[in-house]
Amino acid sequence: MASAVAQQGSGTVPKMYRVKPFFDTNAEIVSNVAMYKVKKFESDTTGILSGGEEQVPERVRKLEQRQEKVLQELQKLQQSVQAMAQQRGVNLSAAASPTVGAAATSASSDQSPLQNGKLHDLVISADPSSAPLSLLVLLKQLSTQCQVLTSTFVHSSATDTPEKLRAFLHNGPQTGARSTYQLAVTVVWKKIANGPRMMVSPTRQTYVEGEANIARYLSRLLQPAYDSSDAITATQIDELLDLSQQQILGGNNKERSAALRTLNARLGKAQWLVGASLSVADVVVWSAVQGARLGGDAPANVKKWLKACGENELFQEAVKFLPPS
Amino acid sequence: MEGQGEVIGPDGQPISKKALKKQQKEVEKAAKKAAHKQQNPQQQAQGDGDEKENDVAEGRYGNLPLNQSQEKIERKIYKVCELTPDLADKKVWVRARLHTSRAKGKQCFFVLRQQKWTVQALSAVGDRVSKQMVKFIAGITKESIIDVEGFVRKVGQKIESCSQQDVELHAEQVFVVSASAQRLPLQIEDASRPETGGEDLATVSQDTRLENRILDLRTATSQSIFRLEAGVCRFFRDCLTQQNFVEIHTPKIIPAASEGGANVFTVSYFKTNAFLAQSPQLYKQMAICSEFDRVFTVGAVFRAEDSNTHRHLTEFVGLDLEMAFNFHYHEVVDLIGNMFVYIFKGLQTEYAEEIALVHKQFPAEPFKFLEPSLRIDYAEGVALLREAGIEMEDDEDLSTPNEKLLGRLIKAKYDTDFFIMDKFPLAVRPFYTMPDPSNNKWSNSYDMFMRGEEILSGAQRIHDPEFLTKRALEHGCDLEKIKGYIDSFRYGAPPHAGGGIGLERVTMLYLGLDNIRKTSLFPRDPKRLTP
Repeated sequence: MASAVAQQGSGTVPKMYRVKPFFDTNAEIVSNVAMYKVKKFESDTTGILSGGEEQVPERVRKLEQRQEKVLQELQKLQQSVQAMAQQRGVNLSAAASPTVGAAATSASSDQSPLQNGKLHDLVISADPSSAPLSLLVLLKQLSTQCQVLTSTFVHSSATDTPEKLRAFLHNGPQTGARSTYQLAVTVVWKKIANGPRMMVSPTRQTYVEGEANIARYLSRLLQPAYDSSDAITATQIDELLDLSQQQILGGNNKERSAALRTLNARLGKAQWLVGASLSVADVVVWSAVQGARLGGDAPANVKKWLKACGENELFQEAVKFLPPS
Repeated sequence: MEGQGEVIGPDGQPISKKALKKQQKEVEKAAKKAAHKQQNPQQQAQGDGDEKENDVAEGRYGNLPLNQSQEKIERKIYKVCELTPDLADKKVWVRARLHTSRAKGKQCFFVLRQQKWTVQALSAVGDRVSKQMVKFIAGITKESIIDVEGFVRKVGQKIESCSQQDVELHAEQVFVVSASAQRLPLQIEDASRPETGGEDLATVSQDTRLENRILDLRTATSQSIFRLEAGVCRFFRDCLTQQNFVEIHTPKIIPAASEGGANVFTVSYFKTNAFLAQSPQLYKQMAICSEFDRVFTVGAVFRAEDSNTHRHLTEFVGLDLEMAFNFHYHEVVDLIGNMFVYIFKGLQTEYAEEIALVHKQFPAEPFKFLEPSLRIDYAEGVALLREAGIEMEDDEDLSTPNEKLLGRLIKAKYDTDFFIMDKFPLAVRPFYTMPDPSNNKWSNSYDMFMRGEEILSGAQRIHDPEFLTKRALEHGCDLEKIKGYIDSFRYGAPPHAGGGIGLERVTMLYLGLDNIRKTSLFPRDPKRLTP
């Protein structure tokens, strides 16, 4: 009866059945009963906002102190390493370490990409009809400074490679694992139209084309690199490298004779092309002149210079592969 | 309207109007035909005359009776590839298949095919050839084997669509030796067509090809593929025989699984079970211990791997070799490298035509390699991959995508499709691999890759029974099962190494094909047991 009255009051049709609500709307809602609580790892921002040191939590201060200590220790280490290096006369820059990279530029003028324990791998593809002789000279120079592993391959496209070229670079027996070498140079005799080209890292770059450019790369691996010291010398060397590539190797007869005349003029005043001693410019120009077979009709100074190069100790390997004149 | 002019049909019922109309039409038709016949009595007579004057080509064409070796005929039968301008104006017999035929009134052009050579033949109505003969030739079913005698004539314009482009065969006699069924499940022309999309011409799916393998194998491409595969096997044998290897044949029914229990087929062997050999590994090594010094074997290999990939078969031909060396396992690696160079060079020089033919239907880059073979260390390979952005541990195994990426990197750097990777980590090699002497993390093992896919896995084997037992225990192998294997090293075993390659996989990768079923004559995989 009571329910009927209540329903009449609300103005609805009298119901036969009534379902009791199964949730209690008055019940207390328990919020967020978490199983585990994570400690807040962020520091309070109040300290920064106020600009004062007093609110900076313990932890941050401790961290800063640790960082200071580590930096100091690093500096001490660096100093002691330098002292040791000076003591033993070791050239620090040859064994560059990544952490002192920023400091190294002041310590040593040039940083070689050659590192101990990491093999720097170059692949040079060349056509067997025009062997890059400068490569042999530069490799001889490099082998005095670091361990070089050399090998020669013949590609399946170069079916008519003369036997002699198969031993262009010594495929000597490997003494020890490949990782004990710093530099690996591989020559692949292949049918290529436009001169030798070099690949260092296929994911990062494209080919380095041309004998002069390959020589540039290799001589930058040397200590000191050719362009590290004097800007004027470096520019002169660059000019001669370009001359060898564009005019001698890639030019027609007129350009070649012009190049020879330039060389003659330079060699009239000095024994070597740049500076007082043999440089990479001499190497590459010599290789280009021999490769283009201009040795026979060269002017007098050039001939004298060619002879001097041929007798130099670094050139002995290359002389063996001179094209028959 | 009832009762007016009703016609009674043959069954006693009145015929409906429609049926009546039909009858009238038929009567008209018959009348026309009779009139037509009357109008052209002369033409009729001529036609009859042709039927009777058949003698022009009678006896020079037809179906031969079933060849049961009834008689010995002395006759020189030329091959299609021999039909060149040198034979001009000679009368020759040729036996080949009918590839296609095209009849146009009084002429019939048909193409004869023999393996990969085709020649055009022609029969035209004349004093030697009759209309019936032309009709007969046009009606021969494709793929039938026919004997044709005719004159070899030089042609003015090259016939581009045939392999013999300078000559044509003018047929005088045509006999069917063995006829083919009328409906072919697949057309040879469709099966030889490259699958470059965009054309409306039909190509044949791989499943259809494998169901009707006999027809699919008749295409010039298939013929070239399998000739090249034979070449690979031949060069393998030749190279190793020159190096003083002895060919042996190892048993394929073996008592215990050689590589691991999971992928082996079981056969019932009288009262017990036996297994089909997963590799000739054990027996190769036992042959070395039997004083053969250098052995190789060519035989079937059975792997019950449920992998439905483009490069796995359940049965394939394995070319395996094992060699005792003096001081360092690199002696064996160098020999295997030189063997591959020998095979590649041989294929490049002697099978150039076949390679070109295959690349016409399945274009791919020609295979490039270096001589001597390029060999890099596992650590260098990992360094190359890391440079390219792949994160991996020093001694982690190479996954298939990493292998392919490494192949591409090596190709970009050295321009070679074939290279050897040396000094694999010990953890990923089987228990009988000899560990590296200076560092236990590495092993004296090597893999060889073609086009970024692995084709050979080899190593220096442990030849000391105690060390072998120790390594087997470390790997958790059941010593009982391999007791026989370990015992074979007890009586003086030389240090040895070797490896094995899959013939089908090498051919597939050399030609740059996309599926190993193309290089297996009647392939077997988890879903295919016939033909």
